[in-house]
Amino acid sequence: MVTNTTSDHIIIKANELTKELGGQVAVRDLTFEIPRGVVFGLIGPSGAGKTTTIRLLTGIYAPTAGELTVLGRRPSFFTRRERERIGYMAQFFNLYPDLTVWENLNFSASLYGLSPRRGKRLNELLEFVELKEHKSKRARELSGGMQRRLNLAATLVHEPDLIFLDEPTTGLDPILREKLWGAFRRLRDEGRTLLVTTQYMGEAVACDLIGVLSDQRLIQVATPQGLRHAALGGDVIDLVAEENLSYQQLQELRLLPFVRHVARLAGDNSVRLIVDEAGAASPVLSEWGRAQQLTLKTVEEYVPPFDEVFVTLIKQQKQQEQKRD
Amino acid sequence: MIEFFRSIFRSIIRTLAFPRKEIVEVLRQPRLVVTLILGPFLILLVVGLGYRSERPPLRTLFVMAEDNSLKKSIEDIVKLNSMHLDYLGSTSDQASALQQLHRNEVDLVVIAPERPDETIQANQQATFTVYHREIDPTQAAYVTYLARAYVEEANRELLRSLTLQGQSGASDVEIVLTEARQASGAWREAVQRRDDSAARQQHDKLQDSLGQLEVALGTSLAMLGNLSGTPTTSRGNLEVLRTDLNDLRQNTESAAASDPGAIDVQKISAIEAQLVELETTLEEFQQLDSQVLVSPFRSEAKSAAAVEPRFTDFFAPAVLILLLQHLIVTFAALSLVRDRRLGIVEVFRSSPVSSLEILVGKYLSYLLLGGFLAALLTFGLVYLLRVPMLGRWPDYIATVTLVLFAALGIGFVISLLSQTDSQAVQYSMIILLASVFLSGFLMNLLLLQDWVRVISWSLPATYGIALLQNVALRGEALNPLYLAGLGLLGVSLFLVAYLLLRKTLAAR
Repeated sequence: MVTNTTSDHIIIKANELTKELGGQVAVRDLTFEIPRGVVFGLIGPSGAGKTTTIRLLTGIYAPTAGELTVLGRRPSFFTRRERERIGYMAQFFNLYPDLTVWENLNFSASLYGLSPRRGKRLNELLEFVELKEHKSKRARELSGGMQRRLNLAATLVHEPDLIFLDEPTTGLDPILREKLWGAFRRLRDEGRTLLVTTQYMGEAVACDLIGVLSDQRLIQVATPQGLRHAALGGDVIDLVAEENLSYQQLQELRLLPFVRHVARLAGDNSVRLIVDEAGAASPVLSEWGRAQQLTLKTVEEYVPPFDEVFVTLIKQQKQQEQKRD
Repeated sequence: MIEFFRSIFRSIIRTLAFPRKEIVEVLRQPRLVVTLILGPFLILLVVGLGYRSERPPLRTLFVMAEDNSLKKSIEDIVKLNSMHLDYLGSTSDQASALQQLHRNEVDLVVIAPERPDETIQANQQATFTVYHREIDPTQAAYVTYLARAYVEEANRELLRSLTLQGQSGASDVEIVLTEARQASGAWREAVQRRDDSAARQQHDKLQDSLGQLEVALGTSLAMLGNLSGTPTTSRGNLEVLRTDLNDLRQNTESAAASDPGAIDVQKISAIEAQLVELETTLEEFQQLDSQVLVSPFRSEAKSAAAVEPRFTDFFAPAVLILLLQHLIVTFAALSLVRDRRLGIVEVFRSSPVSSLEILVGKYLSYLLLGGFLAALLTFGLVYLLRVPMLGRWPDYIATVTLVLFAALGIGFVISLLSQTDSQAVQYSMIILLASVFLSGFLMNLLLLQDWVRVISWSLPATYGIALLQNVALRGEALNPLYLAGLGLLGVSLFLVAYLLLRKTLAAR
């Protein structure tokens, strides 16, 4: 059962958060808010500052500058009570290789002061991460994926409200990754808040909110849809006709009020349009085609992969920086 | 209130997470456990069984001429000392003898004085020069000691020979003394017969005998009286002999001053009695053993301790303490470094477990492990190697526990200052080396300078060895000063480790 102890629904609030490590800036001017009960994805390439951000949020690092509150308190001053409400899964396997799955989980439970009558809870967790039949195996004998799941179980053993998962799916096969994201969504549905970092841009779609980190800066925080809009300027519709589209027709398309951008695709009979909203634009475009006596083969929304979205966002960011410079 | 007790209960759960985890981890490495228990015990066993309390005799070659007057004596003395010296013979070629020494064919080359009689007569000491090639200072000191002991033995032998000659000379004195006593008797009888001529003749004869007696006795006694080692009883006898002779001469001379035929018979009887006493004293002197005269004293050391420990007995408690300290320091030193290497420190940082709970938990783990190890080793020492345990077991347990406690402090401080496993092991080895040389294990602490002893008393092993040897081998109660010192050391190290761990786990 998740308890609501903060006055509002914002569980994490960062303002101009900066951290320097060894004289180098690890993250700079991070400003964001995370509401309760969402999966927040922190996405960025290796070295972007994802782990540093998580360490700041868990109180492992103290900020060099800026303000940060998690669960209503500065993480550097977390009390035992706040720490009991947090679960943190580090980027690498960090349990004891010579202990069995059960012993590791039991040790983690003890660290959080769980009652000695915890057997049922541990079994439930092992079932949840599909490790029940491996509970007598030593951790060193587990595969990488199993070790990640054991780490996840150890993170969840005390039923935390706020869960930090640092690249939990790195190195796992797609099926296992999908399983884990399913588990994250279930935790979210139980009312818990998850902050998940990942290098896989495709996983962004499974998040409720996404923060994009690049070069130690947070360049965007939005929903997946919002991120596409931000990257491409709107929804994307690909229009393909039997006939070639004339210059005049392209100009007419540009003059439609919901159309932001028009560009030819591979042939003269196809164009890609950036529109305010694909759902509303599609029927109007079909109607426009009929009025132009065009035989439209397809008028459909194109959903760009997040890799593309991410690359576009990074490029835009760099262009803006160059302009500023 | 309920919340308070719940918090205490959770804190206990967190603390107890460590003993279970650490012990399971160690026991899961059976080879390590066997090495930990059997290894130290086997070391003790090998040292105990393999140690030779007596050194092998040194192969000794003498350099002296064939006609050296001491040759026979030297050979006799060396044969008497065969436990220490293995006599390989003698040669007159010093260079060849020294080459043999350099080739390690002999251990000692002794150059005897060339003309000892002439040197001594010239009022100089004759020198025996001993060559060796030891580089071990202890062994070199042993050779020096052996050379000194050998020369003292030679000196004693010479004196004993002279003493025997002196005692033999005393037999001549006895004849003269008998003549003197007969003359005094004849003198007394002449006086009683009022035969003045015979009285004077016997008086003169007595005077003559006493003169001879003085010369014969005086020479022998002067020599014996100058012997440095003459015992009190012998010296007493000699003094009595001297005094009696002087009295006798005075009495006889005073008698001769008047008319010897008119002298009181009582006075002559007194002189006669004195001569009898003198004879008795001389007999006593002759019966004295020349060996006692030359070496009147001998030493006999007896231990006032309840038992006289064997070599193994003496070193067993020290080795036990040293091994336990080293094992526990190494375990503790690797413990937190390993946690850091595995990334578990990050879990500690983000979880509600406190520095104190971690440290107390880890202390409990290794105290249990060290205690178990100490119990097994003690069982082996007492019941298999038969090392005596005269003191109280609670004192023994208290000592071992405090040593483990203080050693854990060193280990955790090392652990928190080290970045890698190898660094932690290196620091642990330095502590072991310091303990071997400075804790009183190899050499007595009194042989160390004061400032070095400060380092000694910073090591748990120093207290542990002193306490455990007293408890086990002397059966004494714990020295409260040592106990307090060890406790204070342990508590100080715990505090340092706690502060370092707090710093390590604090937000960076």
